[in-house]
Amino acid sequence: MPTSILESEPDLDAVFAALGHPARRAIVTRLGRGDATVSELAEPFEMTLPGVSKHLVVLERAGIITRARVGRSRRCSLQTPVLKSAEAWLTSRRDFWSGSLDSFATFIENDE
Amino acid sequence: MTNSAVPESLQIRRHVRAARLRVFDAWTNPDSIVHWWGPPGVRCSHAEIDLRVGGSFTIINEMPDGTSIHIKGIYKTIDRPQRLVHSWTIEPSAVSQDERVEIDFTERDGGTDITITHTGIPTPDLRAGHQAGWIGCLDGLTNLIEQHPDPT
Repeated sequence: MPTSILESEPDLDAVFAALGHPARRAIVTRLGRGDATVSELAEPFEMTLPGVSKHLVVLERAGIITRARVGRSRRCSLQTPVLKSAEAWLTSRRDFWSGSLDSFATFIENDE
Repeated sequence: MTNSAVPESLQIRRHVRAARLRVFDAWTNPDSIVHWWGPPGVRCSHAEIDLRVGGSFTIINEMPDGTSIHIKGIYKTIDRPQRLVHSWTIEPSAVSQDERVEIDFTERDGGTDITITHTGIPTPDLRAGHQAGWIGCLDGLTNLIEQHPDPT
């Protein structure tokens, strides 16, 4: 069972997993410059629509993007609050050390 | 400035119920480090330690999907069992880093206090100057967030 690094924060494991793929990071960067339809996202990567949609589902489940139907297309938007939480963990040395000390205490106190 | 502002230095202390020599050795032995290094939920997949002044270390933390960050440094002071000082850089990163970590191990109440003093941490203002550098997840994420303040 994945453990969230910061207790009352969104599921950071899902966010890190979503951002672990270079194509998904590229999609996130593109949406950082403004909303886009699924075809607009697929085009620069020469991905098929089903191919890019698979990535969009992962990003949506992690709370990083939303998709809304507009006419016959779907418009994708970036949601930054979840990214801020992930960034806070990634760059926060205090959270890193605090968590590592927890792990160390568990290790050293149980290892005889 | 985002609400994830990083201070320039930090100090954190934790008491563990173990003898100081064991604590120091577990902190510097790669076979131990892979079992505990990193916050809960993040795996340590590799540790290489050249434990001498001027020697380097590399420790790899893996995120749940397999993306990894590499933490590297060079030892400045090795004073077994009471003090360790080394530099600290995280890869990937486009930000130049000049961080320093001091770890003091102090005997108390039959156990050991571990005090970590981490200085030279880059601030968000410094990172904002590197808009052009998308290298890896860490820096790209920071880059992206600084272009998108929270909606009010």
